[in-house]
Amino acid sequence: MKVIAIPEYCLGCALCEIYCAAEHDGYQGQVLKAFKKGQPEPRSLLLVNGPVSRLNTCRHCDDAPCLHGCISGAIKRDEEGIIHIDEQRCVLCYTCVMLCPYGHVHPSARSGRIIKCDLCRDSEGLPACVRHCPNGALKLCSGREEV
Amino acid sequence: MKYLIVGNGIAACGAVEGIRSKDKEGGITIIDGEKRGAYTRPLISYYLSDPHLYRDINYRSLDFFREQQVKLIPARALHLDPALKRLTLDDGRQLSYDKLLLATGSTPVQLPIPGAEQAWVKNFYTLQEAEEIQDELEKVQEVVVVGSGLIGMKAAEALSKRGCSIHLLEKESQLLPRQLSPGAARLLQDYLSRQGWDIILGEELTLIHPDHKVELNSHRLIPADLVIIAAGTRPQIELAQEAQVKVNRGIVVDSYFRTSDDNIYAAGDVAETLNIVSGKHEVMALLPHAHQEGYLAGCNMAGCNYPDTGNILMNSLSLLSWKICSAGALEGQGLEFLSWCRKEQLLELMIKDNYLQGYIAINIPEITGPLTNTIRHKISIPASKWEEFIAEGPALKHIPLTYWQELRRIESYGSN
Ligand SMILES: Cc1cc2nc3c(=O)[nH]c(=O)nc-3n(C[C@H](O)[C@H](O)[C@H](O)COP(=O)(O)OP(=O)(O)OC[C@H]3O[C@@H](n4cnc5c(N)ncnc54)[C@H](O)[C@@H]3O)c2cc1C
Ligand code: SF4
Ligand code: SF4
Repeated sequence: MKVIAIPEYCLGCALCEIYCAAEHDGYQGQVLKAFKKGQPEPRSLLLVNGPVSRLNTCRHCDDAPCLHGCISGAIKRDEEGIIHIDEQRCVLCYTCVMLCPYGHVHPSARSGRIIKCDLCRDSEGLPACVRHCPNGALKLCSGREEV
Repeated sequence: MKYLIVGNGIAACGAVEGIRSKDKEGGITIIDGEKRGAYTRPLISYYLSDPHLYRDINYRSLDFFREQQVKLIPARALHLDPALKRLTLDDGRQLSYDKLLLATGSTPVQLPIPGAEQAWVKNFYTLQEAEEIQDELEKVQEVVVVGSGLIGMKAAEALSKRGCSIHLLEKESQLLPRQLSPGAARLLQDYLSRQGWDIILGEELTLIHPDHKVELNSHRLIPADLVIIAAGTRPQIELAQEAQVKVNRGIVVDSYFRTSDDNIYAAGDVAETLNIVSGKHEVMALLPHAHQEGYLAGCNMAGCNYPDTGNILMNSLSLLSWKICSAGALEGQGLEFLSWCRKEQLLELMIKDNYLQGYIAINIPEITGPLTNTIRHKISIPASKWEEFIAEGPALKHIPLTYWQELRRIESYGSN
């Protein structure tokens, strides 16, 4: 399972980033609370280069370099195949960062802690970015489907 | 099928995961020579910096081994007989196997220095050594660390966090000689000196006096309550050697991690595997490689044919508040160098004939994933594109487009 970004449909509005941040760290999707009072940290970042933009999502790779590489055993795969981080165990060595082909798993610009997409595994329904993209530029797919 | 794994480290854990992805039934036994369970070796420095916070440094828990139905035997393997397919342990037990994995890792290189046998001269390689240092730490103020490789650096960092005075000794003319260029090393040296580290380059230890002093070849004397020898590691190949399994510096394996004996495999620090950049089989003693190799070896022991596609040298070192990443070949014939530096950030790219061969990135970790994989997958991108990347201020969004296009073509990361 993974979220696929379709650059042709992406307008670069960054709502995906906003709703991603609000879905995590206990904000429960409350955008105002996260952005007015909190410390929002989006797990996936929008890559904007001139007119081209796309959300840089995690592929939850089969042969995941970040998982092989994590020096503390903090990166795990759950039963659904979702690659996620046990933050209690992370020692901030950044080995996963230098291994991810997509540059997806990254240090938060705000706190330096390591964050990545967990497909909103702690909430119900579709991942927040997919749910909130107004342009249909994000799609949850399973299997080897690519766009 | 009876699987036997010698060593209970990173590669062993990878192997259990690999075997079990194919074979849920076969019996797996691990010989745990350190008798400490599967702990994460790199975390011993974190343990030493804060023994309370890092009291649990398991890589895989006992529950993991229970769930995977693995039998752990706390003992050292002494003797391997490939003809009888039999392993003898130091408690006298003998075990038979169908497939055996040598995952015995590395061991520190010892320096023949007079005085090195004293109790306050230590290596920094096992949890036990870290615990011994911790137990004595109240009496320690002055620490001499010999060797500025990754292990020496992490030991020095932990001890400086505990309030010790650090004297870091490196026989080469720069810090981290295998991970950094001279320029990058100078930047790091300035930073560490500002943190109060006493850095001594181009000198060797000649003598360790019983009255807590060490002597250098310049005859300079340094006070020392504790000396840490971190002068490199070597693969633990003794079992293989004695069993007449083919070895060079490490154990020789084919691309399926099989040794010269069909029923014996080797993975992790102890094996020589393909370095994509040099094109040679080398010992690349790194944790990510150990896990991946162990995993693939495990799959292959269970009947798959998953070839190793090779790896590259790479390291991410976090040192106090600095993040130092480097990968690939940092020097060599015909390399073109591009560099960028801003305050405490630095990026150096080494390029040859449209191929990125290596990089050093200090305090700019977020761009390193694509760089590592450009090298790893030999993606052809002309130097001019990298010049543009650097000119725009190195950022993920400026990674050359070709990289992302090529990445889409690379199947192996797939998805599930
Ligand atoms: C302080 C420190 C920091 C490090 N930091 C990093 C880092 O940041 N990044 C990185 O990539 N790598 C790092 N490393 C290296 C990393 O720990 C190794 O590459 C990795 O542990 C190799 O895994 P392995 O399974 O091959 O060997 P190990 O994990 O060492 O496991 C081998 C085990 O086999 C046992 N054994 C050997 N012989 C026998 C025998 N005859 N019978 C029974 N058991 C036996 C050994 O005692 C050992 O427990 C670091 C190492 C140290 C010491
Ligand atoms: S973080 Fe990167 S390497 Fe890890 S699963 Fe996601 S895309 Fe793959
Ligand atoms: S930064 Fe954290 S999650 Fe990433 S490899 Fe290091 S310990 Fe694992």
